[in-house]
Amino acid sequence: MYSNRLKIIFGLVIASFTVLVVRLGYLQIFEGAKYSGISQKRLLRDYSVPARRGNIYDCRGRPLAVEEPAFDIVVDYKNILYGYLRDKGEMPQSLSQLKAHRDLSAGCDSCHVDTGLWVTKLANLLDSAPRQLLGQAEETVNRVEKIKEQVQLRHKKTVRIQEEFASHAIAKDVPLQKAAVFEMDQDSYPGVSLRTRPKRYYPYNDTASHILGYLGRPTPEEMHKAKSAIQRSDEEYKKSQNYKDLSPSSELADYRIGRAGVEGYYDSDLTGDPGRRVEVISLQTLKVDKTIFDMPPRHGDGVFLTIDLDVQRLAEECLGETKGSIVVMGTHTGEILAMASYPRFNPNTLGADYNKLIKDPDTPLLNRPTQALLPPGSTFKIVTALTALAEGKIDLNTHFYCSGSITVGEFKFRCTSAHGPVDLKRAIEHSCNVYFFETAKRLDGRAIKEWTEKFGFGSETGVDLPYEASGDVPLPRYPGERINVSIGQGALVVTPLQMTQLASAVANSGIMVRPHLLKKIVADDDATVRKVEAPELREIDIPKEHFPAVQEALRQVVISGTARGKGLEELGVAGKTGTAQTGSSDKNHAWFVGYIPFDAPRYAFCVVVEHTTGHGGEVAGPITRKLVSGILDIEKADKLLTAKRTAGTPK
Amino acid sequence: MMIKVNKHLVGGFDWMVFGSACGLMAIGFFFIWSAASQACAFRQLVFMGIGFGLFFGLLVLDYMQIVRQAYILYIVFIVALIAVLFLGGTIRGTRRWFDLGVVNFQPSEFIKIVLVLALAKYLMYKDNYKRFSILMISLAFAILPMALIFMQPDLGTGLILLPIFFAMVFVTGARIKHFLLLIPMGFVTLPLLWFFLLRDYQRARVIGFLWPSETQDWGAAYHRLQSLIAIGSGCVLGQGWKQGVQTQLNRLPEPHTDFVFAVIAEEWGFLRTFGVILLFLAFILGTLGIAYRTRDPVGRLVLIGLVAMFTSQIFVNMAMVLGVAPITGINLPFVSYGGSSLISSLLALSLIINVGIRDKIILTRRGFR
Repeated sequence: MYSNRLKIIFGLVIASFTVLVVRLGYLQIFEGAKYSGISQKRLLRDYSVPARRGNIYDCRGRPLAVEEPAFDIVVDYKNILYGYLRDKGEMPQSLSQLKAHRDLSAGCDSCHVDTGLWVTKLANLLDSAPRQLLGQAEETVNRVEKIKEQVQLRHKKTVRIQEEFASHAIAKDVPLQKAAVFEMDQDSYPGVSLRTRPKRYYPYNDTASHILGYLGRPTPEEMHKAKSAIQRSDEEYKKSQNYKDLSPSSELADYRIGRAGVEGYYDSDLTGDPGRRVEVISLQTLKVDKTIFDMPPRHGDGVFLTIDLDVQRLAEECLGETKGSIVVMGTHTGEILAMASYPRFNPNTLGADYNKLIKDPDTPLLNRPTQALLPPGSTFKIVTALTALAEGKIDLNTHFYCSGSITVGEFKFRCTSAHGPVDLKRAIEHSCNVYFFETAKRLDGRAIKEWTEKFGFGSETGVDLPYEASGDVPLPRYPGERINVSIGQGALVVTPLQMTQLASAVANSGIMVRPHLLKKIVADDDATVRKVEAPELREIDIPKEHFPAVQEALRQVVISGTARGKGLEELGVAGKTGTAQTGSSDKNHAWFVGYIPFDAPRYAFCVVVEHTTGHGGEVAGPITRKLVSGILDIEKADKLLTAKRTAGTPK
Repeated sequence: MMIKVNKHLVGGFDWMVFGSACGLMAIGFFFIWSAASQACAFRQLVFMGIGFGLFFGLLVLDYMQIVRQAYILYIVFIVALIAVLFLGGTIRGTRRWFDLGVVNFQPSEFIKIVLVLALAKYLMYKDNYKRFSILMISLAFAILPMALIFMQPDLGTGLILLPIFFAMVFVTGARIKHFLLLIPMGFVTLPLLWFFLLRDYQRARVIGFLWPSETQDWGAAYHRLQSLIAIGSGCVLGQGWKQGVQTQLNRLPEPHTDFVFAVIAEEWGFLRTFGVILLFLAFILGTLGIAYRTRDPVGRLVLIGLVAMFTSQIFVNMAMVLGVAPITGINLPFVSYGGSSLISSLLALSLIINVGIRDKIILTRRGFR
């Protein structure tokens, strides 16, 4: 029995080896001819297929950032080199140039001349000076020769690098008409061809430029990361052998990375994954014979923002050409409808403008709503009032007498005017400093800092934009410091977005929402990938009964207080003005922070004009009126449209 | 120190098994050189040196002495397999080995041999091999390390343990009826394996192999294709050592480890690759021959276990390279680059030779012939 079973094992061994030999023989003898053709060195082309970058849309699906083709005229390197050498009219200097020179002039004289001809022909086509094209050629030659030198140093022998076989762009962003003319007559330009390259285009130019951000060239590390993602090969494996330099060549030449704004924050969603294709090239025709491996790219996802293009444009128009920011946010959802900042930049021409922009003292690249750090001024009295109420240091009946100033120690702190006896509501309405000075004297510094932080100050709001500033909430130790902080002065700095968040918290009676820009992310095949469903909420532990008084006071501000007579009352606005001093008397920040409508808030907003001579109500008030009436108009038009649509649809 | 050489022992030395293994290692050396680098090949030579040291060292002991310690070894390596899950180094998202400086110690390569020894020890004292409970306990011996290896995750090496179990229990004389009982049990555990132990990429590879059109694992499909191109383009005579286009252009995945057979096939062609397969066959059949000749049932059990181990490993590796099995990380014994794998293969070879030279005269319970 044993012996039989041993024989069965023997049989199994023989059987499995037979299977292997048969399969090996089949592959090598019968299919050998088929495969050996495939494997010949130049016949198998293996390259990556770039993924299309996803578009960015506003909340109604209007495109804010799209991919468009751009046309480059590219020339084979040997033609560039020859054009360059002929122009110089001198003997080639470096060894590699000499060799190339010999190679090129080895044949007949006519080709010799032809290789340099492209310069004049292209200059004619493009209506540009030959000098310009030659300058580009010189730049290319220098770059390639430098790479070659380094590679040769590393390998310690003469090599030919892939840049020498590739073609390089000589004219970028050629207009469509010129590209079409060239395409028709391509045969008369030997060694010259047209290359299409994806280009980011922002149809509304500088509108929402800070929100959208821009793209940039990857750093060498990022380039390396992208390349290794394509190769999907293992680092360990590369180290263990003498890695033969076969990196994916120019296929990553168009690789760009989101550098700021939504382009930066959602870069991984927008980018997608490149595909890979392996093609067999037939030797006779040098055309693609068949595709033996085709992994399609995964195109980038489309990003839909909560931004409403109409409101955004309105906000930017309201701001006009004054330095400052406007934020409009849904009070319950945290959806940012508009976030305007001035000065702006045009992402379409950023490459050309960049050096000018970074030198501009007004910092146009700064996204003021999330990055400007400003003292909040009197708008901060909302926080002081709620802190004192929550701590039980004052109630609605607490009265202080305002004589126009108070003296603490040796310092005299002034009020805007002498308000006489004031309670909390009147104090907010008329922005009485003395009332809040007295309140601050009763509060302890730690409580002020704690409550201020509970309202989201001193930390990032978590909005989906990179490089958000967190602001700073100091710990006021001395009475003088407490007095300063109570009216939003001193070392306290906030961002306009944080103030918007505060306005919505007051409108919601103590519920904080996280501001956000993302509505949904939609994959290339229209399947929703990610959707922001419920807003992120955080409740502040202040008893609800404290809010109505503050809300009423904010309404009174526009009826009879610091912002009266600006036409805000009729629009249903509630809010608080603020004039933050910056040291010099003619450079104040004018604030208006509030929400609409006052009885059932839907939108919180913040308007701030930096470095102005006027006061909060005077400067920010009219801007707010224009903004709010515009928002209400857009809403009305929207409702009409929806009504028309519903009426139009058959049941 | 003088070592007494027992002439009787030398006489039992099986030159066919030893010679074919050495031949395979020599071929491995040259193709690691071709596929990776000279430095890599010489590192393999160092591993061979260490391996041969252990090989001769182990020959001094009687294999029965080793089998007696099998349970201790088994426990030690189970602990090592557990430890490697927490402390091991990571390669491509799997934890398989300890970094010992000169060589990466990969316990899963050694547990195969330890399992053979432990099963031999367990089965050698059993009066009645035909009881179902004994079959189940033997199975437990195999399942425990298998589960631990799956968790690394390393599908291929774990699966190699099953043929070892089957072959050893089969040759001891377990009832066929009991084997058949294992089939429904296997069907019950398969879904468990699928859903709890396999990672997504492993499932993708199995699906990709069974239903190629639905595959999402493009990497694996691409590797299979490149391997087939390499083998096919070898034709009958091959492209010559260091001349294989696929290999030299780095189109093969893992050319010096798991896919070294594709390199051999491309550069050596069908005739010589057939010779390599014959060397493997000589090695396996030589081992079976020793098993047939020996009069000690324990030695025979050990040899059957090792035959099952080598055969399944060779078969799974070649079938994967030849595109008839899914891609799992299994290397080719004696040929592929890798310290742990080569040393464990040499240890197994040492056991085989050991059984051959200690041809005992033992009164077995039942006559064999």
